Amino acid sequence: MGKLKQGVTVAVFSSTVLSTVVVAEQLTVSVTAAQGKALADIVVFAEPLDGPAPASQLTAPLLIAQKGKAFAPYISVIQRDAPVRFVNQDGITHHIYSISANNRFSFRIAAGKAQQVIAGAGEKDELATVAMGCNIHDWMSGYMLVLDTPYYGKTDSQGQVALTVAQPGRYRLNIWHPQLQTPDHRMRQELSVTGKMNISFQLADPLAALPEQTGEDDFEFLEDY
Amino acid sequence: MKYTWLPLIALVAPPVQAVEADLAGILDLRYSVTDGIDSYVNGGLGKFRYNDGDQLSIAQAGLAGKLVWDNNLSLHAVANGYLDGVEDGLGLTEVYLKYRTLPSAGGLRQGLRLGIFYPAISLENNATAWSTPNTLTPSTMNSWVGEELRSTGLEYTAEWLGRFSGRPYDLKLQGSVFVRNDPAGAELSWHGWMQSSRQTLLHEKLPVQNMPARQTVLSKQAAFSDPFHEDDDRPGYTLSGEVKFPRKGLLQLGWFDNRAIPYQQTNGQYGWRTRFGWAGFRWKLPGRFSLSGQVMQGDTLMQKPSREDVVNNDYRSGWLALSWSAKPHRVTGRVEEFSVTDNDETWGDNNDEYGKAFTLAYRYQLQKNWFLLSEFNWLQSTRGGRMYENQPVDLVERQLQFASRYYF
Repeated sequence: MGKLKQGVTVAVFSSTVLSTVVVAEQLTVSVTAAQGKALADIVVFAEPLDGPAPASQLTAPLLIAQKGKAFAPYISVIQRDAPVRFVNQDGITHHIYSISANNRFSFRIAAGKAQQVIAGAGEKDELATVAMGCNIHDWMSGYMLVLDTPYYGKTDSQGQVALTVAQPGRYRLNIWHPQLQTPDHRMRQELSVTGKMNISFQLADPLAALPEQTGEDDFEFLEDY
Repeated sequence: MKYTWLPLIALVAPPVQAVEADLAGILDLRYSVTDGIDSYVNGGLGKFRYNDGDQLSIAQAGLAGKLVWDNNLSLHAVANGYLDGVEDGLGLTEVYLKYRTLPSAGGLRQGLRLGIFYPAISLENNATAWSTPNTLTPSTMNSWVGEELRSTGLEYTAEWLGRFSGRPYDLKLQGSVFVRNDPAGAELSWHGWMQSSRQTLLHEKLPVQNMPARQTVLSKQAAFSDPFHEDDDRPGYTLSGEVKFPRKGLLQLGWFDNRAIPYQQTNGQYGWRTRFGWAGFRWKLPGRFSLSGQVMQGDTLMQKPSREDVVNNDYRSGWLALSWSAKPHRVTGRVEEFSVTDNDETWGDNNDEYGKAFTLAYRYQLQKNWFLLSEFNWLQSTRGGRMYENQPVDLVERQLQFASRYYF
């Protein structure tokens, strides 16, 4: 439920911000598995090829909760330089880290506390995945995708997401998921966007198994003996 | 993934060395009815921590405090208290500094512990203050760990987390070097295996049973054994490995050797050369069941200054537990077999023992922090040395326990 809600929020947000722009083109993207089943929680983003992407308009931080000893949502997507807030909703401390080889980050968040960071204050890159874990609860696994474009969303339960771009023109449309079994865990296509368009992606191979976000034991007061 | 992992995140928080204090605890209030003989805790040869009869007790009041710094360093102290009508006590059971890195890109995480800690053997005692979450009483094997084993030293841990490289298992290798555990093996020899949730506090001395050899060859032995004594300044070591399949189970294998010089004695405390190997597993089964078990086998040797054997024992103990859980219920059944084989010719010190035990425990979670437990213990043992105390050589001891456990 959390994943779905977040995905919808981002999609709605994109359209809200960009509805102030007079000319707006709408892309409706559908993602299906090989057998045609709709796939939810797939990141979809469009990179403009004719010019620079608009800067992030986000003011409220993106929330990544630690809830039930799991990242909620499992996948977050955000534009570079936007704020991200890690909120520990559990009654225990978490020790969040990224295993990024060039920039490991880590911080402890006590029960009920939060920690805010800025996404992508470093060098620009066409696509950056932050794989996150918790050094106390080894099964916790989460991803944050940091993009250089404000045109992104996650597919809903119907496997669909609507992206509204400011300008007609050429775009590279991508889908990404950490369990997508393709190079870079993504698929892409270039297209000229004019008016309303429906684009679909169909996976050749099934998604790899999602990591199970549960602990070893139902007893909450275990120690590291 | 072929992405270059460029710097992505800048922490907004100022780079201060924050320290976080954390306190956890357990309060175990217990009513027990014991059908047995005087407890080993008092120097008897009874296998339970309670004497014959019924007893209302604070079976464990444990506090585990830690200070955690942002740079992966933490200071841990664990204290336990007992008010049980047998041997009341309050004191520390563990104190150590711990350092643990983040996993590397390849999934390697390393850790160091420096101080006084339990050798990482028990698969049962993994809750706050070394308590056993599923039962009120650990197996005979781990009861002995709680009584006579404690490492004062340095422990190194290397873990390879499988998910970083797509492997379905985690691997852990551990090694430690320790001192101050030279008399370990004395109590195991002299009262045999027992089944008890009483951990020895770091300052405590343990009564030595009154066998006839105390008047002769063991006349220099102090009346109380100090398990955490150093005789010879010769460190011992442990080596162990574990393979863990997340959410499925684990396998462990280890070796312990205190390397005590067996013919040395200071202040009435002999060195006991105690070595053992252990192996264990825990595995999830279909239908909410899980199976776990451990075995330990080893020997211990204590000699006269002339290097003649006084105590030369082999010992082994193993347990197998089947547990079923559907919140708020958990039912655990455990069977055990144990023995001590006395290989020396010392008169008046027969340590031979053979026994079996069965435990049935039920846990009910009343609230998030509050558990009600009941447990039945049955322990049959044959021990020739009990005739020194005019007790039956063949004995069945039974115990029924009811507890309220509050964890925080």
